[in-house]
Amino acid sequence: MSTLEDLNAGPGGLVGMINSLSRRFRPLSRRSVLVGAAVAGSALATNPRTYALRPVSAYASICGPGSTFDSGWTVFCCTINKGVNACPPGSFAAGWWKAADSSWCGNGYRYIVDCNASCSKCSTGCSDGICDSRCWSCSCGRGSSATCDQRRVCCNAFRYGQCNTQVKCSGGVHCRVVSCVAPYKWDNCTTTSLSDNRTAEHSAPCLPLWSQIEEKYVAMGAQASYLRASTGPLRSMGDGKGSYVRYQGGCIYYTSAHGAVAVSSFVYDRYADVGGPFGILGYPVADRTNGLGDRGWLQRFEKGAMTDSASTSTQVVTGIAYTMWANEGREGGHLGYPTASRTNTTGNGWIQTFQHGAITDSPSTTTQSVWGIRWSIWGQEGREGGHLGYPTAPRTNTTGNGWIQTFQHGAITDSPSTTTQIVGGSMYPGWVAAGRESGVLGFPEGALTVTSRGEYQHFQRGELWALGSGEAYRVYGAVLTQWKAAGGAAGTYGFPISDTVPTSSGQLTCTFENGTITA
Amino acid sequence: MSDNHGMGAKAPRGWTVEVRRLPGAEPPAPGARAVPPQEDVTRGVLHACTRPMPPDRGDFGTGVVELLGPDDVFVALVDYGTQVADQGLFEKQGVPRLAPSQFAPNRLQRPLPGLSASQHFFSSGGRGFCLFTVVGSHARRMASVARAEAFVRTLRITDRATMAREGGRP
Repeated sequence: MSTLEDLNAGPGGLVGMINSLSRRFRPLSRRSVLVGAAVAGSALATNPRTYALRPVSAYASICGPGSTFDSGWTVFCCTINKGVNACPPGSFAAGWWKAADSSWCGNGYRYIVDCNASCSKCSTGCSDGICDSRCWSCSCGRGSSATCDQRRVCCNAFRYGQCNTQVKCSGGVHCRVVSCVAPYKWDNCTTTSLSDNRTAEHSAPCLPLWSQIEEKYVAMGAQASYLRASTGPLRSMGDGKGSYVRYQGGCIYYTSAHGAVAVSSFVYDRYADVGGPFGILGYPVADRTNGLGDRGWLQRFEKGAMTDSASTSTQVVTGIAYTMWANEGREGGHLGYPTASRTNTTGNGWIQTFQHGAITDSPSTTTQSVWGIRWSIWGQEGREGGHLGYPTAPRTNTTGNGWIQTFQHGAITDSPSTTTQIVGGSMYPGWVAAGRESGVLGFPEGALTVTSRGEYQHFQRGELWALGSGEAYRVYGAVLTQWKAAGGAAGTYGFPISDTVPTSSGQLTCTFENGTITA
Repeated sequence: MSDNHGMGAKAPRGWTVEVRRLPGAEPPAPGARAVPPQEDVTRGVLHACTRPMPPDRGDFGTGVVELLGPDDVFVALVDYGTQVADQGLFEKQGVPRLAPSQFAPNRLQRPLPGLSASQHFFSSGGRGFCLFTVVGSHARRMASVARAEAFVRTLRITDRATMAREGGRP
């Protein structure tokens, strides 16, 4: 093979080899094989050491054709603007063109916007629309030697002319911004389209390559979205699972499990505070949902959610707390929006409070939610540090259309014919022993009352009495009637010292400090 | 005389002139009340050159200007539509006169060794245009700009009203 034609021609030539490769690795097209090979080849050519020795993508070192100063083309803005794919200060979008079939836009159109310098220092020489170069807001130079984008910075006195046409006179082209979305959708430009397909593969390492992330960005409107301009290239999270691109207004993460998901900069900052993808939330799994109740929003992550509303502050709910919150109907359920982050409590427990309740747990209990009136009462009683302790079960419906929620040392309960009451302390074991709300005593009808010698609590069909700090004993039925007639605890019999129990003859009997009543 | 999309020129001997409009949405019809959808609108572009032009060329001559010899000239008359006409960047009226003093090596989208260019935005007949001219040698611009100017004087632009009356979309 002595000529280029020889090299390319025939089945053994380059063309034949590419056709053969594309057939073998279907569904790869000939173009994909060529682009892939070109990418790798260009990467090796432009940055062989990095590409060969480090696990970077070939695109990471790709600038495409005409990347030198002498090529005449203008540098990409991200190269000279701290990675930001936007016009640098002092310059403005002055015109645009598009290039067809660009691999940087999924083989679609790529839009290139010239950012022209402003005539910030003087306004001489404006007769043909470009002021004298000494007036420009930037001066002619080349891109950093740290990148392959060595193109011209602020050298070319040219204007495409479809953007910001109210500016009669400008400086030269400072740098170029790119997008896969037409610039009239995100800047002050007209729809008049001009073309230059030779620029389709021009790029810089600081620009995101086409990926699911870029696809998502384009679907969101690219620069027209709240994300605005990219501030760096596609980067790997380094865990073999995720990748991301940062934008002025947020970030898009990609995982194969959840696809590309956008987070706003507001969410991003708080997400970073809790460790980002490697923290308590994991990767985002869905875009933020707006328009929830009370002007709220929520964004789901692998291990929970971040949420906020007009009446609350931004909070994170993770793990079992999120599962339970979701089961309770999330922000629209009994608990409402979270009002604080998860907090450690005494006894190695934790609690997360919500607008109308809390989710809590401890080493000796299971995760439970407390909401509504139970939340109010539990709070009044000192919550997990009070005499009820941690909840041990959810609110449960009982016989007689009542309900109960049990705690380590008591319960909160109610029924249609009673008011909400606590049964706690020494009363609780006595009530449980009596069969609780479905036993001989029924639902509590009043709160615990302390006397000089002990304490007692009224129930629908009887009473529990405890002498000093001792056990509580139940008194009910005919025995209760007779005992009350005799003055109760302050009368002849004094405090009960046993439970009221049925006798074999069908009567009830109870032993008191000073005697026994059988009735 | 090449005349299409409301622009034309009488090509001197040895010049190639082509007016084209790339695929894309047409400009909105004159007097259309409905707000047109936001999409890429292509308009007519006139290219003229003292040598044959490849079909795959940029609107501002990429692909052509690289081929220019020292005595060659390339001219692009680019239509920007009525929306921008008569104001701001397009405030000046009428096809400009070219002079060697307007030409400089950095007046191209992509400066290349030897080349020199000038760019003028203007309006004519209620339509906005850019006249972009490249000569193959900055050193020989005195002669080549005169040839370019002679060509530019043959340019004809149909005004907005006439174009609309004749069914065109200015």
